[in-house]
Amino acid sequence: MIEQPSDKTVLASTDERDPLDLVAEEFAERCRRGEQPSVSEYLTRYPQWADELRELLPAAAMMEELRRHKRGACAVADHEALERLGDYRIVREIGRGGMGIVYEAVQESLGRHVALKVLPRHSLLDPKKLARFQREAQAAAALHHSNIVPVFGVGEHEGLHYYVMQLIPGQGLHEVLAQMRQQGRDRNGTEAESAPLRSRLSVREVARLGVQVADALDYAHNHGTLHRDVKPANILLDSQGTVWLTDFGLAKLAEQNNLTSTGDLVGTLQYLAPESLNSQTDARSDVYSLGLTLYELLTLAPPFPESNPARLLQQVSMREPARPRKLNPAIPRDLETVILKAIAREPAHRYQTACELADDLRCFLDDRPIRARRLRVDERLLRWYRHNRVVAGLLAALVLVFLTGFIGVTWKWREAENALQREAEQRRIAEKATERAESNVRLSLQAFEEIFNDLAARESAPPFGRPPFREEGKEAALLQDVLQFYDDFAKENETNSRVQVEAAKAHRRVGDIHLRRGDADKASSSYARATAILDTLLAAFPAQRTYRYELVETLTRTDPHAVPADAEKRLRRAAALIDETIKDPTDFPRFTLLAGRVQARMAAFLEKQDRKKEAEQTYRRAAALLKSLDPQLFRPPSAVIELNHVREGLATLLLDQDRTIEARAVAEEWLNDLQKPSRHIPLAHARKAHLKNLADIFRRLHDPKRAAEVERMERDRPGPSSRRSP
Amino acid sequence: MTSSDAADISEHLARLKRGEQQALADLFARYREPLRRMIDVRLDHRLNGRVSPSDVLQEAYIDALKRIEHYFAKPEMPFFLWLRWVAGQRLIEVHRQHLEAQIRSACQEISLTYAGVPAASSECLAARLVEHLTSPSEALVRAERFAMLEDALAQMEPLDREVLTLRHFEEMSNTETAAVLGIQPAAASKRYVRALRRLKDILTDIPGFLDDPS
Repeated sequence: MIEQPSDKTVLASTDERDPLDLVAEEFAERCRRGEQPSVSEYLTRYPQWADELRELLPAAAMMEELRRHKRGACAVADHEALERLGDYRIVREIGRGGMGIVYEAVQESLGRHVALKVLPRHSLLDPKKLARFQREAQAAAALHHSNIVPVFGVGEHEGLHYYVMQLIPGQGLHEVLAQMRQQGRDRNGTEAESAPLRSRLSVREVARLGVQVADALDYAHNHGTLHRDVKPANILLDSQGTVWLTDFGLAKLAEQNNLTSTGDLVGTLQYLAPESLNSQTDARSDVYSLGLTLYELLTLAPPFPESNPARLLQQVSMREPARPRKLNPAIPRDLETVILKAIAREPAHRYQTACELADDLRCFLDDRPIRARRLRVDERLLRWYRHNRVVAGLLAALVLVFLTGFIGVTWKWREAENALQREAEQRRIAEKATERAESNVRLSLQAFEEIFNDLAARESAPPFGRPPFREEGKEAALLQDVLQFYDDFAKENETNSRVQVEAAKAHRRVGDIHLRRGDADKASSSYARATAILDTLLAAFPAQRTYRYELVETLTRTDPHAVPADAEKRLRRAAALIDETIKDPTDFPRFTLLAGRVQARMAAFLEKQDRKKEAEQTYRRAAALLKSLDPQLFRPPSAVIELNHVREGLATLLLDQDRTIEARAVAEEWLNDLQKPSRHIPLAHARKAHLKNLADIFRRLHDPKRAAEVERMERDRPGPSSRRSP
Repeated sequence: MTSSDAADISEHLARLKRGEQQALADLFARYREPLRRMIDVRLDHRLNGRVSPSDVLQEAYIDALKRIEHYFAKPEMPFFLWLRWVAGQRLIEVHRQHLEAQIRSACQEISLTYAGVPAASSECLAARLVEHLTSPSEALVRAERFAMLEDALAQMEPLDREVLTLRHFEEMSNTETAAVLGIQPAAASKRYVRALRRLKDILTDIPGFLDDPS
């Protein structure tokens, strides 16, 4: 031990060494002895060097802080030369982990071989920590599962605390991984396949292994114990191919005791669920860690290949690992889906229990459909879109990406259908592929429909029979892309029995877009194709209400300007279809709205044909149907917009016939409704147009006061959100 | 090191020279701690779990046994520094075996060694810091801090970094440090003070680093 130098020695040796060095050395020595020397003390002692010391001593303190960490890591090694611990005779060291060294030992009184995990000396001096250690050990000892390494108990001998576990003859999965990687390298390098110790685990072996660990975790979770440190090094594989989970709950203890040394920390961090960084750990965090372990076994690549702890932490909290199939195309798609679900960043998107993960892995092994759904490009697109309501040019680019992906699915699916005819063995696979393709198709359509509807709601649709408005700029480009999507989809799937309804709807959408852009001819032909598909379907399945609904919906999309002769026929058929489907449409609000829309279209058409009396009756029927919709239950914005058009049409019709009193009644009722605040944003957008229309009606009624009042309503409420319903 | 220590060591060396292998074992045991520190600081953390420091120490002992003739033929340095050099050579060999590609590409063998021992990389040093975590979130904060420190160490001249490593992590005296670096003690002393000052300068430039109470 170096003597604390007196001021004299410091001053005396300046000729040989830098005096500041001597002061810093003394300072460091005191740090090393566990003191916390204050910098100001030194400034007072050596005022002549105060400025320099103020700079240097904190840096020296910092270096000493680092040294302490280093010593902490070495603490584990203090008892390497261990030969005996009480009743246990140490045979050999078999591993080192975050909590100490694991030895193979013989318990001499029982003559049995056990594994001893010896904790670093001084790690449990604090009685609180000791109590916690014993509690964790008891919890672990209470777990009896065929895939959990049994804990016999804990012991203490001359200040050394240890864990006694069953000795599992086998390897940690981290060793297995290292061997597999090594063999991969050897094979690539020399082609020499010299009797490998263990060939690469097959995909199914990994899945089976995953089932065992997930079962073990589920069991432990049900007993109130979290593992907290699931990783390859804590999973042992014995010679029978059984896996054993070990070190339950020790991770937490290790953290509290600062026992984790660098390598272990990295090993642990790599598999740590993102939410654990905020100390929010539950069963789903273990699911995540197991997911990453399986990921690594399948791909042989660590999910976060980073050995620098700081950057690793950043990766764990920010990044998503590459898709497993990118790294190993031999991984089946379903298994990849299961893994990706297990390692979703959001706990809510993962399997909620280890049991669910085990079940899905079993489904995979039995070739049954898995429950996890692939998170498709379109879902991500949708999530993105929901967060970025402002339509950007970027979206168009995404749509194209998405389209390509979709065509890929369809192609695979056809391939599967061919296989279906060929071989019985492949049938199940094909069916699964088909199911998946179908659900994917639905998702895609759902995504696009949401985007489309949102676009459509930006402005109220043009009243029936009015000239369409033209989209501008980005919105037009987006519509073009959406159109392209639906068009491709419709053509691709027209002959496909399973998604014909979706194909018909796609045709209808194409028609809607054409109509929106003012291309009535193209719109008619798209609508006609949709109608034809639904007709065929309905002929085959007359009882299917969905087909009727879609057919009626399609029939209402008729432009009376384009094909007047056809329009009446189509609308009458729509009305008839509704009648024969349900006796009283008011029982089925969806059909009520549809019926109201059919009547509204019909009325507009009749008005154009100058069949005023029929038109008026039809308008009134439409209004009655639309007003009957209960706003509490089902009255979507489209119903309100439709009702406004009906009122405008009816009032105009009445005014044309100088029936001012009846027209005023319609207008007053309309005004009354418009005074009610609306929750719907699309309605707020449409409101401006509606108020203007109503003001015009009042002006035609020679009531400029009322008209001005209506126009003031618009000015008083500049934004949709400035007034709320109480 | 006291003079009685020195006498003891030369006595051991004399025994060793006569062929008493036990003398080497005794000497090795005496220097075990500082040798171990050297290996801990310099063993590439990528080898954690694959190579244990005590394995390196054991192999270094065998190497020392084999090469002891060479030491007696040319006893240019204190015996401890010679042992440290032998252990350093072993460590380089271990790194070469396990990290061949990386080492070759980085040309670390020659340019970054001091007295035949692998240089402590800044990453190694910073990694040592993260060990002391109490909770994952705290680890995150620390990790950020240590990442800064790592940057700071990386910005330093290799010799400055080495001086700090020897003085603080290997707990060497100025004389030993000077011997390892092959410079005069006075120069080593100046170098150390300068290195501390530079570390402080770099850390001062990092916003918020020195304010942090942890």
